[in-house]
Amino acid sequence: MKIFAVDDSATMRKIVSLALKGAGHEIIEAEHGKDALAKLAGTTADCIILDINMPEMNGLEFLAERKKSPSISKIPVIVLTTQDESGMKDQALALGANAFLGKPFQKEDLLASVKKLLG
Amino acid sequence: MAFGAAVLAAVSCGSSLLGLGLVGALAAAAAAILGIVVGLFAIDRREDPVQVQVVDEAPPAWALSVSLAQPDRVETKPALEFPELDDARKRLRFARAVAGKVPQLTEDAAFALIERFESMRGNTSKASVSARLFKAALTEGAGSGHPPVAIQAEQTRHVIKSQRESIALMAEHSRQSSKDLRSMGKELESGMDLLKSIEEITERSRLIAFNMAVEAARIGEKGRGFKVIVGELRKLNDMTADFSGQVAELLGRFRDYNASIVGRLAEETDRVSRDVAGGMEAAERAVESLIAASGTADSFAHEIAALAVVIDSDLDGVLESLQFQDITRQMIEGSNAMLDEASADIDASLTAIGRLEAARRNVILLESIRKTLLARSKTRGEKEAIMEVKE
Repeated sequence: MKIFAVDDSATMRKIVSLALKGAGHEIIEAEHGKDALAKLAGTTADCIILDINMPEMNGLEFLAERKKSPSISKIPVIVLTTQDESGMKDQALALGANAFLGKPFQKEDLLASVKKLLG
Repeated sequence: MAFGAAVLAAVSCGSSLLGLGLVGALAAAAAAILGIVVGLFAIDRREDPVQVQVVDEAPPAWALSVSLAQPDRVETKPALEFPELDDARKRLRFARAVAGKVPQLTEDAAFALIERFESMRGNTSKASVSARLFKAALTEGAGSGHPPVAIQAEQTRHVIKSQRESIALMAEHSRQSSKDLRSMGKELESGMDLLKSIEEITERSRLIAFNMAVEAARIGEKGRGFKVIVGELRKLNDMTADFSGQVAELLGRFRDYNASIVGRLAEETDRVSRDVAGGMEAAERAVESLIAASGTADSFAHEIAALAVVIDSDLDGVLESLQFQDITRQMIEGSNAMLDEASADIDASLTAIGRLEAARRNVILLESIRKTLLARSKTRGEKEAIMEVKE
């Protein structure tokens, strides 16, 4: 499966990438929401792992843009963020996110979420 | 600058020119000061503090003129100074310079750690695959139609055992043959002894023939028949002697040849037995080593596979720890941004203080000028006009 890892932290992208590559997934990295949208215009994806707090275009803004675009609105999104404000999860889910994971995450939890979404 | 020019003009005109023109100049100066003060409080804090840094530290030209004209009349008050704020700015800049390097260094360190672990995991994984393949080649065959090495080794062990038994049997047969040949040599010796007996019989038969010949000669004509028999007997004796000699020579050669064969056979059998036994032992040791290696490879493959699992698990732990490190890195970045904001705020405050100080000096100077002008005014109207400017 082709999975996007969208995070402004290169370390976090690498960690997500290692966790998912070990399970046989192909990973495409993006530094922020705008970067992800640009890359999604040229390729397909089966799932998106999305950070919230990013420069240029944050995770919530990306979710809003995703909603508007028929070509990517159906791609499941797992929000992976350190933002633990009570409203953040609700906002993300309201904007169409399919799952929510907090940082730091455990590899098993991430793999389980991906498996659950991809069936 | 308009304010400064106006005041200068007013002062240089002297008392004869005091009047409405002077009041106008004073009004212009007041308006200018007011403008500076209003501008000071209208500073947009979102703007770059460098852009609003317009404080002129040097006293205006008109102030110098007034000061020279009436040096004892200018009020002096302590300037507005905030050394703590300056100090705080210096400390903030230092802290920012130090903390600014931390996020990149942290990320570099995290990446280096991940790369090393990845490399280690990759190598262990390769070793594990190789060990599994080696074990499979030993126990299951390499897939080229050849039986597994372990099974081949086991078969070879059986073949070697069987060969050793055959060689031992062959050596035994050889020893038996040597024994038989030696027995035959003894029998040949016996045969030769028997030939000596025949020679003795032939010799005695010759003696008998001689006696018969003597006896036949003595009895004369009547012994003529005996002569013929004696002649035949002599021929028989000669033939027997020739035959015995030939047989003895033949048996002698056969005995020597047999003795030579026995010696060489025993020697060769011993040498071949030793060589074969040595070779077989070496082959047996090699096969035993191979069989033992098969078992070692099996446990080796298991150990490497277990090590790969441990390293995998360790890497997961490291990656989890690095997430905390990354979260900390992001917090430091956030703190740096706050330091930047605080630094900008202090810069803006210091700029504002500079402007306030300039304005305060201007107000003091204005009051001084007013007093000078009041002292120089001659009419009540002039005084009132000067006082009105205050408002």
